[in-house]
Amino acid sequence: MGELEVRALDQVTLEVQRGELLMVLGQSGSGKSTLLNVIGGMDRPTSGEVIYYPKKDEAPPLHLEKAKDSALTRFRRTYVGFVFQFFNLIPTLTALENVQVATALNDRPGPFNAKSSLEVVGLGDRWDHFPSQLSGGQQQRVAIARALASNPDILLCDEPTGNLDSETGEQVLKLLTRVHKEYGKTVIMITHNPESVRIADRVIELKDGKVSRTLTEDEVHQLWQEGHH
Amino acid sequence: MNRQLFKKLLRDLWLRKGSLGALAFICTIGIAFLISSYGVYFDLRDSRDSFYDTYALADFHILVKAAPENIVQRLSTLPGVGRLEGGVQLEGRTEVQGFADPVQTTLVGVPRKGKAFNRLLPLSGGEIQQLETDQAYASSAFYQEHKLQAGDELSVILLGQKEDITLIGGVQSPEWVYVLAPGGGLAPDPLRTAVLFMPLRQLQEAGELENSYNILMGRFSEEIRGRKELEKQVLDRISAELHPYGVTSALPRSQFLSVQFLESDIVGLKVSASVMPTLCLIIVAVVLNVVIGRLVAGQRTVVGTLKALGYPSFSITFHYLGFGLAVGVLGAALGTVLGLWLQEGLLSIYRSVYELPINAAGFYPELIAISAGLSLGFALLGTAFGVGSATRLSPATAMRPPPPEKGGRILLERGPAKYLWELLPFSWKLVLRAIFRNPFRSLVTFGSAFVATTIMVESLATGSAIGVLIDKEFRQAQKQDVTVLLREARNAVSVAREFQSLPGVWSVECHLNSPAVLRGARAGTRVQEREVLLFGLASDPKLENPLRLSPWAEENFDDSDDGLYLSRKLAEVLGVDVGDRLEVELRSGTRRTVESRVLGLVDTSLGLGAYLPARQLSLMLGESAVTNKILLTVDLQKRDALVEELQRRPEVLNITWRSDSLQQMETTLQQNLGTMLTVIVVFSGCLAFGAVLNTALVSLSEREREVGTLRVLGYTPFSVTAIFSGESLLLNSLGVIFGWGGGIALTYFVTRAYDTEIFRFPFVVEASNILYSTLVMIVFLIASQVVLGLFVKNLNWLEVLKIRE
Repeated sequence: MGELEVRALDQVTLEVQRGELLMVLGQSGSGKSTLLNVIGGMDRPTSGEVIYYPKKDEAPPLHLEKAKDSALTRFRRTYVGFVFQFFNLIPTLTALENVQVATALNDRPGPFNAKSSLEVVGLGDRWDHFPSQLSGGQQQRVAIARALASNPDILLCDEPTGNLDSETGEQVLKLLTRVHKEYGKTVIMITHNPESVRIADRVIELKDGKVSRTLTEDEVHQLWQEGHH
Repeated sequence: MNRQLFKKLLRDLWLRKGSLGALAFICTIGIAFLISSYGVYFDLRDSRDSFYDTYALADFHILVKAAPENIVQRLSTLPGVGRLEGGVQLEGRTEVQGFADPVQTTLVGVPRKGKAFNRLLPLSGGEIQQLETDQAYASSAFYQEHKLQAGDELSVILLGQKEDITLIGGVQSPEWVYVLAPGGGLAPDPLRTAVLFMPLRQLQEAGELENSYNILMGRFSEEIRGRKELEKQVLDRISAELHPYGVTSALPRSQFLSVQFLESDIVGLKVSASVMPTLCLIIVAVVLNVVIGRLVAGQRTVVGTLKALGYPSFSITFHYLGFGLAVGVLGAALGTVLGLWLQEGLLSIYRSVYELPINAAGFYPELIAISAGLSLGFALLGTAFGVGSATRLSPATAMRPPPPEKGGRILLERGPAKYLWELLPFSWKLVLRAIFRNPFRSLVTFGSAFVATTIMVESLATGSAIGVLIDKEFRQAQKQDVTVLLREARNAVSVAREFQSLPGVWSVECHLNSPAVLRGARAGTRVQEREVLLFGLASDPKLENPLRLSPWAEENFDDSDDGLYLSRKLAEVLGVDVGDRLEVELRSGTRRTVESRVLGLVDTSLGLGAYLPARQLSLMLGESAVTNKILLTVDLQKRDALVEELQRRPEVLNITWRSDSLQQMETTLQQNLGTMLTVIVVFSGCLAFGAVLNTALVSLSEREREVGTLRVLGYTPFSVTAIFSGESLLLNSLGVIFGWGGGIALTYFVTRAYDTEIFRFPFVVEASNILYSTLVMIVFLIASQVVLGLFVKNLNWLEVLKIRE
């Protein structure tokens, strides 16, 4: 019996502008995470192109679909910060050390060091706590601090509020908005929380591995209203 | 590795201290076993080599009746002779105050200017002092066993003359490393056997050897040293020159009794050092590989995260290698300490057996490096394997938990076997599926039980084999109470009559021993020769009769036989078989060379024996029915009176009580062999314990979710452990059962390896060896399951269930 071919992403064309906050909606299994993984250089598409244009004069455009493992590793290290639904902190390192795991790799100058990025996310006084001593929201904030600290261009967030209660989720969203606005980071965020769409510059929906549509401002507003109530 | 990852490593190690400790334990066992076995082997070998070298053990000894002193100078000029020294060696008896039995004593002459060969090492250190008349040094074991001191007086009886001598101290001599009384069994008996070193002149006078020597010691010239063929030619040449003076023995160093015993022990050590610890270390290495591989594979999500953060695969791998490194380094360190301690303990056994200056336990960095390297290597391999499977994945995949185990049917669930399968309770289905889905791990568990059982069966069987050997040689082949050796052969009839009248004697049997050189004269093959003792047996030997060990030979033995029965080993060495012709060069009496043939082979375990009727041997020697070895059965109540009577006779060279020799051998063996066997059994058990525990822990860690589910359903920790123990139980039972076969095979192999000219181990595996090994394995298996139970009990199963799929 042959294996069934499943296309996680199919005929997706997407352009993201520098400094944009793009929200990706979609049901479970629609290909959101795969899209994020492909953009973040964690996975390669079987066909098609993924091109990253660094800031002017910094480096030539990068074809991620053709890049070697080592180039992808460098790409992730330099340009991308990840925020995961399940935080993915290393349980045996403190908050500060978890952030340092990322900064230790990166020599790109930025506005923060490990300590100040924790202060930005409001955890300046919890730097020596282990993940098990922090709440879910706090852990996610450490993850955001880790993503910020290495001064990436893009922040990729895979359902960052998915594992948090609504109040904590709200705080995390605020934090991400601040990061986007104050530091001009490009943010691509996956969510199926309709409430979070209000902070987006643009919202797209994925269905069966395809970009089914781009939501209009009205639709976004309506969605937010629905979610809010 | 950056600081954060290093901290992570340290904390991860600390968190997993339980399972890493179990790993380090097994590593420690393997390394300690290897280090102690090889360490003892190196120590003993090096101590021997350096003693032989520094104290100038002669290359050859030639015993003669009496040769004039000036012959030494003449023979020294022969080509191939490096240096030659004459000496005197006499047999006598010593009386020690407060000790009833006579001490069989070899008296060795020391020239005024000191010995050139076989020099003496005083126990007290320093230089040997020049001996004056009636002064003597004593062999170290005798000196220590009797708690003698410098200045103590002893009486020496030599040729019926009693002389009082004063002891200067105890010494060790490369010639007398293993001191056995003639006919005194296998183990030294320092209470009843001694070597005394006295002024040469005094012994020459006492032995009626004025201006003569009865032993020549020498060294081959540097050009031919070590070239066996040439050495033999030179030795033959010297023997021929000495022929008129009655050569009784001409032996190269390799055939000196002490050298042979020590050599066979060293060879044996090398065999056991290379087989058992190597097997252990392989098991350790494979277990490390499995466990560390699993441990790292369990960190898959962390690996994925690190990759997502931009860490390259190699630095992640390098970080995880720290696990293997920590276990390897800890195991090597602890193993080295334990190994050195054990090495010193084992050496003390050898110190009690050999009169050899054995150095303190040597530290062999290369040995530690090799064993640490092996365990580290395998640990790192396991790490690389475990981490490799995670780093090969894209970070996105690695961060997701591994897909659930494939649930396909195993072999037993297909075909006709499936009907049986249906009958199994669910717990056994879990067990069998786990075994079949993790074939490598199952093989490792099976392999460790197999190796541990194999080693135990073999070790215990070796112990039994020595018991059987003693039983054959000293109970079956010998029935006499006392053996009396005479200085010169005498008429058998009158001796029998005379001894029959001694106090307490029930029966007398007259045998005749005579040295000879046997040459295999089989057509078309190279002539092989050996210096042996011909055993002339009484016409109907009721007391000593080695032919009893081969019923065919015993039945066919006849007083009129014109030929020899050879021990199987001697026939093998000479390259002859039943019916082949032999050349017999007699080394006493007529000293003729006669032709004889092989009548039969005898399965003896000690030495190289050749047997024939005493009557025939007498004729060959040009005598009519003479004897020099009298066997007695006696009333043990009258032992003292008999000893007193025998001691009074100057013609009596030596008196041996079979019960004394047996007791001495059995005590020595119980102490020495017993200690070694205990060490090996404990080690093998610990190995099995560690291996079983480790693989069970791996199995547990892979199936934590199952444990959680079972606990949710209301299973107690005990019943959950019971299900997990099923896997260990099944694999270990198989390992133990196959281990019986392995043990038997290894015993056979080791028996072959120990097959030397001085002794051969009979191939014996007793039911008790197998039973005992199995019991020990059961005890250690239960212990490991108890520890496993504790892990199950302490597992935070609620947490385990909370973790996302």
